[in-house]
Amino acid sequence: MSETRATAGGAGEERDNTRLYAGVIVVEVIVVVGIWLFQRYFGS
Amino acid sequence: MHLLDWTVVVAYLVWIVWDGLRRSKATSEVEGYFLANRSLPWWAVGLSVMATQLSAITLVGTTGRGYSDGLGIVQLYLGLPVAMIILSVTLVPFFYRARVFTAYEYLERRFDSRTRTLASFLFLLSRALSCGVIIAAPAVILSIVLGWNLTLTILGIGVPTVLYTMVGGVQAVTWTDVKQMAVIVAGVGAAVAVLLFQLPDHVSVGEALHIAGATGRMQALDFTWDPNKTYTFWSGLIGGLFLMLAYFGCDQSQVQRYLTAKSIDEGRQSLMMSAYFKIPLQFLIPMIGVLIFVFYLFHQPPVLFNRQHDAEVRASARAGEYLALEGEFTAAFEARRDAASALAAARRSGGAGAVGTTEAAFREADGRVAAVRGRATALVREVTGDRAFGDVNYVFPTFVTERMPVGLVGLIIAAIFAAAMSSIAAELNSLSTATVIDFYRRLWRTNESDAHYLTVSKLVTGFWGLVACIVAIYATNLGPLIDVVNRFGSFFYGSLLGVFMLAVGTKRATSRGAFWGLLAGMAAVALVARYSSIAFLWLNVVGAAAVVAIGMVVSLLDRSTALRDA
Repeated sequence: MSETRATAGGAGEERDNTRLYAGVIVVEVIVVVGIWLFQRYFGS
Repeated sequence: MHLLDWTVVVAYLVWIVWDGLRRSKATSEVEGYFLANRSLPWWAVGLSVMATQLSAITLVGTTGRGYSDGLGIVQLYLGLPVAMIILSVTLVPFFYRARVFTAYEYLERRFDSRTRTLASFLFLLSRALSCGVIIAAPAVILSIVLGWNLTLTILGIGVPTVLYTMVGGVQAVTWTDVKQMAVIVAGVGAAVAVLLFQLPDHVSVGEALHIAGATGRMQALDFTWDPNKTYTFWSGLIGGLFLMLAYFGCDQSQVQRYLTAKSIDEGRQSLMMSAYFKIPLQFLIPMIGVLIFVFYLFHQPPVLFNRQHDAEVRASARAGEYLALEGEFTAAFEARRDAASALAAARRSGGAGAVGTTEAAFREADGRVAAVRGRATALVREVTGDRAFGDVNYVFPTFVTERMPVGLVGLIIAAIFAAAMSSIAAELNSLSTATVIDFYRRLWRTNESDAHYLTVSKLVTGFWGLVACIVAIYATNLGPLIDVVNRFGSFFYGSLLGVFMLAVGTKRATSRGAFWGLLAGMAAVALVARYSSIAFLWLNVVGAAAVVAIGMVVSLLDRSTALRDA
């Protein structure tokens, strides 16, 4: 479960988004490696 | 265009305008009109962010680039996911907690009013021009390909967009963006499906991609370290990172999207949608161009995709030369078609030697087709005097109108309209916000009622829409203006990012440092662009670095002077 903490200024509760950001990096690496493999396979 | 296609386009326009106008109910005050009272769900904001970035220039230009050069343009977006994470951690919470309407408002709180004024003024100038270009570029292409009147096409894109943006404010912009994004994705999916179905029976999808790969079009990632090359892995990852940080963090047309989200976290999640889906989407769009290239290996393409120039050359004194080139082109096309079929057959039979031989023959045949097209292009340049002539932007619309089934033509024309309108609406809305919040309410009429500012906001939206349509009409006649707008944007983006880096990154930066740093950054970018051939993505890095360096030097001098005087 995500941690939450209150913020000043009426911005609402904030979650700990570390896992969200890590997920983005992992997905980007997978996508880039996928594109590279695609290029290796279909390139001449 | 067939009646059914017209029906689809008109139905799209009516649907979007109706949907935008009915949002006016939720915009009875300035905060509702500009920020939807910070109430929108992350997924709607996320789709709006993506729709704003994906203009008709992206849709038509990127497919054209895929046709001519392949998938390399996807590298432009490699820095985007990291940029979204950095923004989510840094600027997004700063903007939310400061409860600002514009990104530049934050600069006044952190530095001073002149830094805010300069940044907002630069935004207004560059975005007003670019908004005109965003209307003009697809209008020119559609008017030539479909034989429409150019001014009416500009008004056909501009007037409905101005109407619903003016009346419905940011609510209209966001909710129509959601629908427009759906139309764009449907159009892209339909184009891919039709292209795959139209492959010849004797060529599989895998063989088609291998044939495109033989011409280098499958090279999506280029790991060479050459700062003069526009799209490489490194320019995309580093230069693209700075570009995306500037665009999503400092450009009001994007900042305003996520300021409408319900909370900081919903704002962050909206940016994460682009972080996850932007690269795959931007891989698919040039892939359409690659598939069109494969399609035209087996179906004869026109020598020139821009029919206006084609007609001009046919009517000129050098028409005979052009007809001879057409004959050469047909022969070269037939030789290439046979070579492509032979390559597909060799791949199917699996003999490595046969594949190598047929691939070399195919490359040679493709080179002959390209050479004839090159000579035809040179002839057009000589006859028309248009030195910058190129017709890759006409490839996708020409394919759509001539080769797509009835009904789907209308869907894709609607998708091009949607891409243009979603970007224009967001820009008009943000231009109005910056004008009213950064100038009118702050400098000219400081104590008026909310109703007064709301009325002025709507009028200012209409004013910027009028300016955009006028710029669009003139931009179609002044080709170099488009270059000026693009260059001006790249001068401005990196430098503005540098100011925000000073604002958020260090407490030592002073207002004088930020102001002079911004001016020095733009000057540094202008000098580098003038005296080097460095690719434009790197200009964003140069601008940001120059602002931070000069800004810090001026700030430290300021502080030492203050300490000495004390």
